[in-house]
Parts: sequence; structure tokens; C-alpha cells
Amino acid sequence: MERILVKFTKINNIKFISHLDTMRTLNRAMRRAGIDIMYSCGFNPHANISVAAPLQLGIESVSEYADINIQSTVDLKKFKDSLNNALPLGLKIVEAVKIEGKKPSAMGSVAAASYSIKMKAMKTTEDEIKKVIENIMSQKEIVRLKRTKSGEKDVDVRPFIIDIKYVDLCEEELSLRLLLRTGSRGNISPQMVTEIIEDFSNKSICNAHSIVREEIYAQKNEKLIDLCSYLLGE
Amino acid sequence: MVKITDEMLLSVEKPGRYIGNEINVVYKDAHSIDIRFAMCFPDVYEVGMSHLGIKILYHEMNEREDTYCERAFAPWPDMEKVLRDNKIPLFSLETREPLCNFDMVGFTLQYEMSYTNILNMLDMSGIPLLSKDREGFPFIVFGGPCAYNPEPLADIADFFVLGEAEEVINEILDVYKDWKKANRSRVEFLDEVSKIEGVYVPSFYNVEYKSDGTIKSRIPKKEGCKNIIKKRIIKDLNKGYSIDKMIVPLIDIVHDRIMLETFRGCTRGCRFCQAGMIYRPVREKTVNTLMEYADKLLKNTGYDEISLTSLSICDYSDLKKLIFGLIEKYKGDKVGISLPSLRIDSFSVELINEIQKVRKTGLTFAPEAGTQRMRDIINKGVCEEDLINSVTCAFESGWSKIKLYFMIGLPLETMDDVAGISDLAYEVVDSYYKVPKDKRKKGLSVTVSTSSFVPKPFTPFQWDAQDKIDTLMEKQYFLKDKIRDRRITYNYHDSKTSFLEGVFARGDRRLTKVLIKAYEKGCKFDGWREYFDYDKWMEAFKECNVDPSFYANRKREYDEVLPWDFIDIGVSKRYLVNEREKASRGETTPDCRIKCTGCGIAKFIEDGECFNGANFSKVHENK
Repeated sequence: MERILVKFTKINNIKFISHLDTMRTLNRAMRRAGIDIMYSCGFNPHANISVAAPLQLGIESVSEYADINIQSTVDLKKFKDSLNNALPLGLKIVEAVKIEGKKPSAMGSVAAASYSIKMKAMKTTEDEIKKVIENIMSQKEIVRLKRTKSGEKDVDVRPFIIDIKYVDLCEEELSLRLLLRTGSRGNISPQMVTEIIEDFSNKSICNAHSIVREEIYAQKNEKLIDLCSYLLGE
Repeated sequence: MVKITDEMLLSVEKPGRYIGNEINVVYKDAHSIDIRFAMCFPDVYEVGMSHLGIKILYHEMNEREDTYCERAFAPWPDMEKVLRDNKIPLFSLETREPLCNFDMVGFTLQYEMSYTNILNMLDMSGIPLLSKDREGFPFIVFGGPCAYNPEPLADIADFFVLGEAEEVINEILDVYKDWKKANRSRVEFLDEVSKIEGVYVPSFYNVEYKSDGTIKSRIPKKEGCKNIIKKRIIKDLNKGYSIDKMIVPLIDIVHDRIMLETFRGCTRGCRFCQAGMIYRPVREKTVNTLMEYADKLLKNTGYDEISLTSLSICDYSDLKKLIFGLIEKYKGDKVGISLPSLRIDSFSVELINEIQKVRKTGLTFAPEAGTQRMRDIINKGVCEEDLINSVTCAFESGWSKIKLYFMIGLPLETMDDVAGISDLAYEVVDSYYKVPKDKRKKGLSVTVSTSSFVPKPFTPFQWDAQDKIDTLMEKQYFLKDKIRDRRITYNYHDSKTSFLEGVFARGDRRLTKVLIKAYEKGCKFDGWREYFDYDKWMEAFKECNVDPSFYANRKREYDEVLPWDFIDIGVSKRYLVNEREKASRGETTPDCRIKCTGCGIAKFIEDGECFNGANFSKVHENK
């Protein structure tokens, strides 16, 4: 058995398929590419592919990660090329690396993710926008209704917002960069952050029409390291 | 090309329905193409993409260099609103081209309740609903099983294809290409295409009626129009075009697996079944052909499940060899095999037991009727003992959830026959408890479903009156009352939907205006409970001065001219009359693999031989 970590994109129209549909599509691409995936044992064997952090429908990503367990040794370039030939437009493997030794799973390593978002900013200035961001970041607590497996409850989401950065304002189109807690130890969706921005700006900033996940990070000591480097142990 | 923004797609449910870009989708340069064909399914994407027929035609047409076939489906009402609000016409998934810019737009007619969706899709495309107003627009062509009674859509269609379209489509495209080059009039194309066998151009005929509302005669408007339209069939399914790849959707659809078509036609001769008559003769693919195409399809799609399809899969003559061949070949690749339709015999239960080693979900049986008398009338050649043996075998093998399918409202049915449905369900429960406790699985659940019988053209019951809505409901309540057991669940179909289906199944040309009226009142997605609006339909009938029960609830005489009489499916009217008479006498007709029953199809096929060489070991073993 061999463990391969792939980094892939999910851009353009394919952002309109759900996480489950993405998994199914990846699985079928492996089969078409003739890759010897490992199957889980049990009643309903399924392919051993696990995506590090599910991506919500409608959000694009230039760095998704998945662990794939395969039966026999492969040439990584061949692996990547044959898989890319089998994938639909928008899903593309950009990197495939072997993970050797005892390492945590990609999914278990996720600590944060960065997003670049575009929102509409009407009748406002760079300074005003920066003040809104400062205001959000200086809050001790931001309570929001969160849906969990056990129902809905109020949660303080402020600790999950690591950073909001102003990037650019051009003809009412505002670009921001978000760094957010992601994964099982704390998670906030970029949509919720855009809603918070809407609220704090009294809707002068609204309509998040493009969200792209830029990177997924693991945490080592106090530092965030991209998942690939982290799992390769660099 | 229309522009669909991200915002639009994010505002609707399941936007993946509208993005195309699937695996094995065909992209061509539309400008270097002679013929652009839009293949449409008048229902939502997940339903339409589960249909094998349009996939076959899609890939077959795209084999031609001069043709580009694309797809379109009925947008769900949320997307329809977005498109209409933004004045965006309905478009194809491949190139997002409005349907009005195509050369031909084809619809498959799988069920009558999808007809309003056809009108809606035409309207959303800006294509006139009536054929006579369509100058300068694409040709609209209809095919599929409901085309065997084309008349309710006569004024909407430019032409119909009767029979297996794979056999005809290339001839049609050739004629179209020549016509387009010659730059001739619309009617000249219809003239040319009507000469092809299996093609019916309804505007070339007038229908006259008697004072009692029945048909007096059909009169061709000009010389040279065929009086009889013969259906087209592929003689040998092992030769010619066979599908070796299919589009794999990116979102979950109803039947998300490889459909491996094993044979067409059926020899059982059930008297209620239209498919059993119109798809004759039986033509099988050989095990070798099927193994070859299964391999190609698995490699090209990446699916991990193969469903063996046909009208009754256990009749495939080499079923064991096929199934065990597939299991043996793909056991390392985790490929599952499934059998969609099951006849009742213990052989099939054993077989299923063999292929579904894991997860015993549920087993479905279709006795169709509750008493032996009724099963003899409909010629469903199974008896109670068969059912009890099969379910016992299923219980012993670890199943505990059984579904039973029945029909109510069958011709000659009495309340005793209806009561028989509940009796049979209780016997299934009893047979569960007869299996020793340590051998059976816990949690017995028997689901009884009744659908309401709809008499269909080209069946021995095509002359019969459909039960009225009240009668059907009475029978449903009677059963509901009789089945009072927590282990048995009873489901039944909405009888108003069945009534409307019955009207259109045996309707004539006078229904086109009702259809348009109902559509104008907002009827669409009539097959979906949340959208079906019976009252609007009844208003439409009233305003058009058409009595729906004339079509659904009236018993016809044998000598009445039926709207579909001009179509030759190969099965003779004489045979259907004879079968209807035998039904009245409670006489059964044997499976025609045992003895030719003289339905006429042998004469219809030029070489005069049914089954093309299939071996019948299985049927003989059973009898």
C-alpha cells in the first residue's frame, strides 16, 4: 500500500457540485484512469479517498487536498497525468506526492484555510472599509447561530476568525483575504464571515459573489504551514 | 450562446443540473457542422439522464461528423423563473445555445404526464407550440413509447418516429442535410422525410368524426401519403451501433450506473402490458457481445455498478453465464451487478442471493393481481405457490423486507379480486413465520403498492373502459381498511393522475387544444405530486368542450376506428381481439418461446424468425 497526497483545484462551473458529488467524481476518475485504489473493508466497500476539508457548493478552490491509498507503487507523473486525463474540466491535480512513514491524515491535520473573496462595496472608501475590519477584529465576542449535528446553537465565532485583510477596491469591487479556523477543532465558513462584514458595515459592503479557497494549513507549534509541506515534514 | 451568471446558479436548487461539463460529453465546433440536433427529455435532469434511450441516440448521432447532438432538460420551476425573469431562452447544456437556433429538436415521450413540460420547453425556447406556425424555426420530432399513439400531439409535432430511432435517425439526418443544402421549403422537407419508413407526418392527414364522436376515417391530404405507418426495428442487436460510452453526470441521478441492455421485447404476453406488445420481437444480445460492451463501458465511465436491463431480465436465455461471467471477471474491481425487474420464481431469488452477498436491502415482486382468476385474465403466468416459494426462499436467505406490486382497476375485476391483494400480503407474512426463527432475519416488513390500471393502445385491453376515479378510490379505501397490520404498509397511486394518463394514452387529435389550454393555465410537471393540479385540467377540458371520460371510461367496440389504428407494430389486431376474448373466458396464453402464439410479428420481420437464435433453456427448465 502507498499513500499519495494530491493537491487539486475545483474552479469554474464545477464549483456548483456538492462535496459528495466531488467525491464520487474523483472516485470514478480513478477508475477510468485505471489507478489501483484501495477499498475499505466492510459491507459496502468504498474507495479509500479522503478529502481534507469539504468545500461548500458554490466556493472555488485552487488548493484542495486528498489522501489516496493505492495498492501498488506508481510513477507519480504518470499517476498525475492519467488522473488529469480522466477528470472533468475544473478539477485538476496540480501536485501528487508520496507520504512515507507514520504521518497524520490530511483531514486530521487541517487547522486553517485562507480565502480570497470579492464583495460589492457601495458608497464607501478604503479607510471606512479598514475601520469595519478593525472593528470586527477588535470584538471580544461575536455570537452567531451555528448549525451543528445536534441542532442549532449560539456560538462565539470570533476566535475562528484569525485575520481579515484588505486587498484592493476597484470600481465598487472589494477584494479581501480571509484566514479562518478550519477543521474539527474549530471551524467557520467564509459565508458567515461575509455576513458579519455585511452587518458591521451596515450593508455598505455586501453581495459576496466570488469566494476562492487559496490554501489549507496545518499548525506546527504556533505557525501555520501549508498542508503539503507539513505532511512532507519540511 | 446565452450567459448564465454564477448568481443565477447560486440562487437555485441543485445548480449542477445546468452546468453540463460531464464525463464523456461531446464537444464539437458548432460552426463546422451541418446539422445541430437538440435531444430533449421533458423532465428534470436527474430523471432524463437516467434514461438509456437518449444516451444511445446522443452518442450515435455524434458519431457523424456532420451532426452535433446536444441535450436539454426541463428546468426545475426555480430555474425556469430565473430564466424567464432574465429573458433567457432555454438552452442546450453543451454550448448553451438557445433551442430555437437548432435544426431539429427531438423529444422522447416516455410518459403522458410529461406533455405539458414539452409545451413549456418549446415556449421557453421561443418556438411556436403549433407545427403550422413554425416557419423559420427548428423541426420538432417526437419518439419513444407514447409516440405509438401520436394523435394527442398531432398539431404540435412536425413529425414522429415510430419504433427504434437508432434504426431510422441516420436516414432522417441524411434527408435533412440534402434539404438544407437545396434551400427548399419546410413542407418539402416533411414530404421527403415522410417517405422514410417509420416516419409519420401528422399534418398530412385529416381526421373525420362521426356524430357520436368516434373516428369516421383518416384521409391523406395528398397522394403518396402512406395509409399505414410501420414501426422500425433493429433486426440484430449484435450488429450496428452499440453504445460503448455514456455520459457520466457530475451530480447524483436516479439511475446512476451502467445500464447494460441485454435484450428487447418480451415473450410473456401479459395482456395489460404495452411494452410487451410494441417491443416485439425478442432480440437478444449474445453473452460475448455483452461482455465486450460491459468492459468498454466500465473503462469509459468509471462506474462500479452494472444494471442488466430488459423487460424481464430472468428471461435472458444465458443469464447464469452472463452474471457469473461478469462476477468472475470483475471481482477484483469491486463491480456490483444488479437486476432491476424481477419475476417471481425461486430461481431468481437464488440468483440475487448469489450476486448480492452483502447488504440485503429489499426484494420486489410483482404478482400484479390478487387472485388466480384475475392473474389468468391478465395472463400473468404465475401462481400463488410461485410467490410463496420465492418469498420463503428470500426469507431463508436473509431478506426481511418485501415489496409487492399490484394493479387495481383491471378489466373484469371484482371486489373479491381486490380483497385477494390483502389476502396475499397476509400469506406472505405467514410464510415468514413458517421459516424457523434462527434462519430468518428480524424486522419483517411487507409493502403493498397498487397502481391504477390504465388501458393502453396495442394491448388486448385497448377497448376497455378505465375504472372511474371514484371506483378506484373505493377500491383503495377498501384495501386500506382491510390491511390493518403494523408489518404491512399499503401505498397507492393518485387516481386522478391515472385518469388523466388514461385520457391521453388513448386520446385523439382533439386533445391538443386541451393540452395547450391546461398549459396556459399553468399546468406543468404533472407527474410530480407537488405540481399536479387536477382542477386546472378539468377547467381546461370544460373550456374546450371536451369530455375526458369519453377517452378514459368508455368501452369501445372492436370495429371502432381507434386513433392509432394506422400504425403497424407487427402484432395483428386479430391477435389482440382473440387475446381479449380469452381474457373474458379466463383462458391463458402460453409464453411464445414455448409455442408460437401467432401474434403476427413473425410475418412482420422479413426473415420471419423470432428470437434470432437465442437458446431457450431457461423457459423449458421451468415448465
